[in-house]
Amino acid sequence: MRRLREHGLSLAFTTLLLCALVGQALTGQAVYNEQALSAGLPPMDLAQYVTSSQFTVDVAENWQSEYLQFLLYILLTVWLVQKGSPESKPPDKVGRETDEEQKVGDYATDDSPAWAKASGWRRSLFSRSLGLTMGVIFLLSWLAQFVAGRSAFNADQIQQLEAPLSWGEYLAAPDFWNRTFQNWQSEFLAVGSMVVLSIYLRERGSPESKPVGQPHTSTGVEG
Amino acid sequence: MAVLVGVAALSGCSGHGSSETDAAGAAALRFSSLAQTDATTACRLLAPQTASELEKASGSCGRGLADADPPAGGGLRDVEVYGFDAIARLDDDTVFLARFDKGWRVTAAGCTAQPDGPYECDIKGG
Repeated sequence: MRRLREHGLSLAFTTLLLCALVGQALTGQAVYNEQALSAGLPPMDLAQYVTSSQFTVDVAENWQSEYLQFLLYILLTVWLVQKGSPESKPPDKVGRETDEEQKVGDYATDDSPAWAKASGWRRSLFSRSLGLTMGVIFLLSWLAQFVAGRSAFNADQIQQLEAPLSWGEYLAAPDFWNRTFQNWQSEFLAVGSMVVLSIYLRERGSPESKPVGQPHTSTGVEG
Repeated sequence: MAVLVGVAALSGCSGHGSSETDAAGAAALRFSSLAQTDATTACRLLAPQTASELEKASGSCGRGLADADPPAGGGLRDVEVYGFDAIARLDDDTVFLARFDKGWRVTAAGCTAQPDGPYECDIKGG
């Protein structure tokens, strides 16, 4: 029970993710089959749909933008500040900060992670591991969007008696970039909204909010 | 993430070289050959909506196919498969196919590329 409580946040979001994926699969299959049947083309069963390029591109285009959002959020908050926002560092902490502030090397504590105590490439790598991981996942999911997107687009092209696109043609195609930009704009909107709204609004008890009584002008304080 | 990339690779890279590519190519070749010699049998290789369009136009699919007079087709040059959809380029024809429960069926044939827009096809669905 204690484990459930200690890991409640990740468990809740994993459950929500799985439920949303199931919902997306079922509704996506229904949409695909509606269109296929009205065109006299074969429908897909659920197993075929969740392994299809149509489903894969719809998932991948969302995932790549989420990880891009986090990558940019993690990196930009090192160097850029927003006065009054709990999402920002205080202005005097801009940059990578000192070893003492970051508890690395000689300033690491007994329970610091091992690579925070290490020197050289291990400390460097660990110091950037969050951004690097988000970046790698972003690139892989954007690649998945590209590969699956071309396949889904070309399936559509063939259904409409048009020539499929090569890899290079799809990379320059409006379909690829429209899918990309429509997802990016919503992610940037979400982070921007959070950065600004959290200056003036509160959610008591959430670490994403300042304490209710905290002044609007205080920066980098979470409740 | 590994699953997503793996499925993308499988679904997206199926353009050439898989067993479905071979099956789609064989269906296109068989249709092209039968359309010249046995229109009634060739009709069984058509997608239902395509066969239905020929029936509506000419009273029977076989007669409609004969009236449409598709080109001989020739040898198979290239096949691209994307999930349930394929395009087969023959020496003298381009054939569009879809994968039904009973296998690949021709959705359009006697197709000529146009500079802008879809192929012009002698045989196609509604």
